[in-house]
Amino acid sequence: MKKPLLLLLGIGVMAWPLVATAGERAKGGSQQQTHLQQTDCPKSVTQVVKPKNVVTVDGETSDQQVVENGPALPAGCKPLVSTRVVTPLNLATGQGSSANQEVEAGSQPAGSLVTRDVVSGTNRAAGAHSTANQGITATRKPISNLPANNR
Amino acid sequence: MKFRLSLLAGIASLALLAGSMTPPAHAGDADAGSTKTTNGGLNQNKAIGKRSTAGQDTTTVGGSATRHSTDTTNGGRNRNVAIGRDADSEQSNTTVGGSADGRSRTATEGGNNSNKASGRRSVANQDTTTVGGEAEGRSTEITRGGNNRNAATGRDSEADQSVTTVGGSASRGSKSITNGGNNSNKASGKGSTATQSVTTVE
Repeated sequence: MKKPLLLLLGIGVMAWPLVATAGERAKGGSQQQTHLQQTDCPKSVTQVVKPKNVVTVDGETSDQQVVENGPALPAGCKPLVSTRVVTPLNLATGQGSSANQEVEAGSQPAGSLVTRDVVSGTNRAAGAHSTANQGITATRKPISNLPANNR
Repeated sequence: MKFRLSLLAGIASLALLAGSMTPPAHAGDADAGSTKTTNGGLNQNKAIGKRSTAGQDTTTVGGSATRHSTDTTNGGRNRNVAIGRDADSEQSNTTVGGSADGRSRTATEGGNNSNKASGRRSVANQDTTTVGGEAEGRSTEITRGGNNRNAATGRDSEADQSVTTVGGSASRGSKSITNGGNNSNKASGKGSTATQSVTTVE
């Protein structure tokens, strides 16, 4: 009865280095993969577009155009959570003032497990004879006609 | 003579109120084991001001849900009011709920919008369209395009609001949430104009 037990113990002691080596290898591979995810492919991506266009001077006109694409990610990168928040503000309070705002947000990462898209705009023409125009567009596709300062 | 004029004005205001269109909400089929809610009612349309006009058009179509899925479509509780003298307020809301299959859930809420023309000779136009996507497998798809506010409170002011939210489809293990609502548009100054256009496509 003691002989089989001793035999099993001996086999276990002999096999221990092999098991330990396999475990270290697995651990090292996992660490390397995690490191790659943290640097190149993040787990979550958040894009916030929050422009403001406020005209308080009488008779003044302000035009604002904001075009923003999402973060550039490597091919095949699929973040677990992708969030985009677009909350623009357009306000014309001056007498006879005019505030024009155009916001375009595009290129949200595809293939995410959770995709959140929050679009909420505020447009006010509070001044006498004032004009406030606001246009908001949020799509998943990238916007090709980016202005020079946003390329 | 004065009595006849007031009677005519009353008949005219009644005719304007009768002109508002509120089609009934359409409830889709729900199979056994599923939970489904379609609310398209409780819409209010009022023309209070003298010679004011208020028009409302609301459509809510609920999707279908099968197995363990949940499908919720709320397109109602919209308010449209023309308070100012000679004011005009027009509202149009369309909410189309998606379908859910398997263990998935789809919720489409395009309601709770408010449109008001309270200034004298003011005009307020509001148009809200929310189209919910489809969910299959164990996925979740939520589309919210409602809770928008549009008001022309200034004298001779005009406020136009157009909100379009199209929810995407989620399949397999994915989850997609689209919020295109909670927008505010207001023309409060005398003779002011506020125009807002919001488009969210998933």
